Amino acid sequence: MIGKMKMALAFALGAFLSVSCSDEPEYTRYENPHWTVVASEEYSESCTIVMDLPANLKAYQDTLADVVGAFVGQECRGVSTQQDGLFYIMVLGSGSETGNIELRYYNARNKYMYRATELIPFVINQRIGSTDEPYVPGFDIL
Amino acid sequence: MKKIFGTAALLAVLGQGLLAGSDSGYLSGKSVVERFSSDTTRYTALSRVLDNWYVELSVGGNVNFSKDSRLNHQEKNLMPDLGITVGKWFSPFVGVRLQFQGYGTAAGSTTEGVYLGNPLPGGMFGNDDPVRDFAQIRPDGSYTYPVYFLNMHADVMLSVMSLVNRGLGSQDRWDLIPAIGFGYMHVFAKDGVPAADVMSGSFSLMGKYRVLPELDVNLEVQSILMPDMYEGRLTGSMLDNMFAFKVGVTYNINGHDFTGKDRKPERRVRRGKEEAVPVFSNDTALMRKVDDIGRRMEELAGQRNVSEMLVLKEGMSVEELQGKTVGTILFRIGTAAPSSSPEPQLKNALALLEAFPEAGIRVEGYADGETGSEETNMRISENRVDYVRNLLLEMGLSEDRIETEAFGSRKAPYEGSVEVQRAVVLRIVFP
Repeated sequence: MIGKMKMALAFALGAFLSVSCSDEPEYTRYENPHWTVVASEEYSESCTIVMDLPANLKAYQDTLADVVGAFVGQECRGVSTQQDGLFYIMVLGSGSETGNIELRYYNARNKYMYRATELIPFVINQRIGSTDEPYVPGFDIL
Repeated sequence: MKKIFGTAALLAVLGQGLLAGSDSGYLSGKSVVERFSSDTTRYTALSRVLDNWYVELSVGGNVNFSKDSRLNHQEKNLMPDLGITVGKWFSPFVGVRLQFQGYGTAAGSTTEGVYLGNPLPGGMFGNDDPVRDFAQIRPDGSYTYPVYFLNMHADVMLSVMSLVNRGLGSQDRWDLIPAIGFGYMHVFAKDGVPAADVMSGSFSLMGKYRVLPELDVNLEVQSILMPDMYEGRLTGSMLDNMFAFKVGVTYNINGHDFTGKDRKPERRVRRGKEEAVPVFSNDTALMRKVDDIGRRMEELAGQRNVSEMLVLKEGMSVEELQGKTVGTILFRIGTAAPSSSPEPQLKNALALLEAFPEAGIRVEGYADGETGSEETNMRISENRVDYVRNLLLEMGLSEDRIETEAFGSRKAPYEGSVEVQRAVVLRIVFP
């Protein structure tokens, strides 16, 4: 009786351990990138973007520490300011700018870095999004 | 994957050990089959109050099917599930159980929904889930969090194999048991999940294998229904579902008994303030035979002009016991060969004598008056007396505690059929 009960308990313990939680995949975490705009006399023109986060990320927004950077290639052409939950970005460019703007979003709470799925053509004096209808891009995780 | 193989290996070893035909130590050389009674009768009687209870310990896992639980990482959606059960079979067909089940389940959430952990004025709830402060948030904003609970539910069970076979036989090894019931689930407050008390529904199907009369192994699949808000998140659906699978071990207290017979395991004859040794054995097969004989004796006691029969009751004094019949052995016509084994009667008598060291046993031999001459009947009755006397001596009773008297056909022990005249009657006598 004792032997068989031991075997039964051993199996029960094995089954218990086999279904215990395992760790999720590790995601890359980032520290605040502290983006700064590349100062250049060449970048005399600009466009503005008023952006909001998609619903699945909005709940994690840190209105002080989150930041959106606007990049043309690897150059940072604009860094956001937040107001009333929206990101306001002035993107600098040259008069003959032909590059596309890539938005990158840093979430301070979860330390994730995202990249907008869509590139925005630089158009001088263009306003993309507004306070009433902000631009809401999709994001991929970096 | 390693854990799956490890569990499968444990299962194989366990199965081989449990189902082995012979075993060292525990079974003491007896095979499992020999532990089951050879009785082929199928019993259907209602259970006595204290019989057919069992306890069960089960362990396994559960998967949560609440909204967005599919977002859970594949391995993280499976959580341990434990169960402790107490149950009783009221008949071979129907039983009830009370199961305490729990540990945890993996709930999934996104930023959609309202949360009991974020109450707002006016009885509303907000979108700010306190669980997010404890859970790992995935890049897409979803997260998994454990919900620790205790689910207590009472179920009605049906024994499919007993229904199909129209009763429970002692050789039956397999069973299929569906169960349905309701219960109460308490969710423990932890890591942002608020405490909750909700009703739950349970539907399960169990496969059972009877390793020993007292020991079963089970495999159970179970569906548990809870209200939407049990895990602290309101999604607008009516019910959430959890699917559990468990393996278990059941201990049947005193095995199974649906014979419907009164066991009377402890008839005690009290003398003064002393308790006598129990008259009846705890051997199930022996006691069934004793019960049969006892029932026949009680039937005979109801007949007129029958020698006063002894029906043992608590508190009987020596005076009440003097000369009372403690056993009757019936014989085949014209012989000193008993018509059935006298062992139960003799053991019963010896047990009573052990309780009363000063008492003795009188062995009275009879023969029926409808066959043979008086002389022949006297000789037959003397042979019957000698037969029983010799058995008592072989069973260890001292000769000075045995009285004998043969009556032939001059005196009848009982009224009734001739079969009961061919008897040896055992009476307890005190000096």
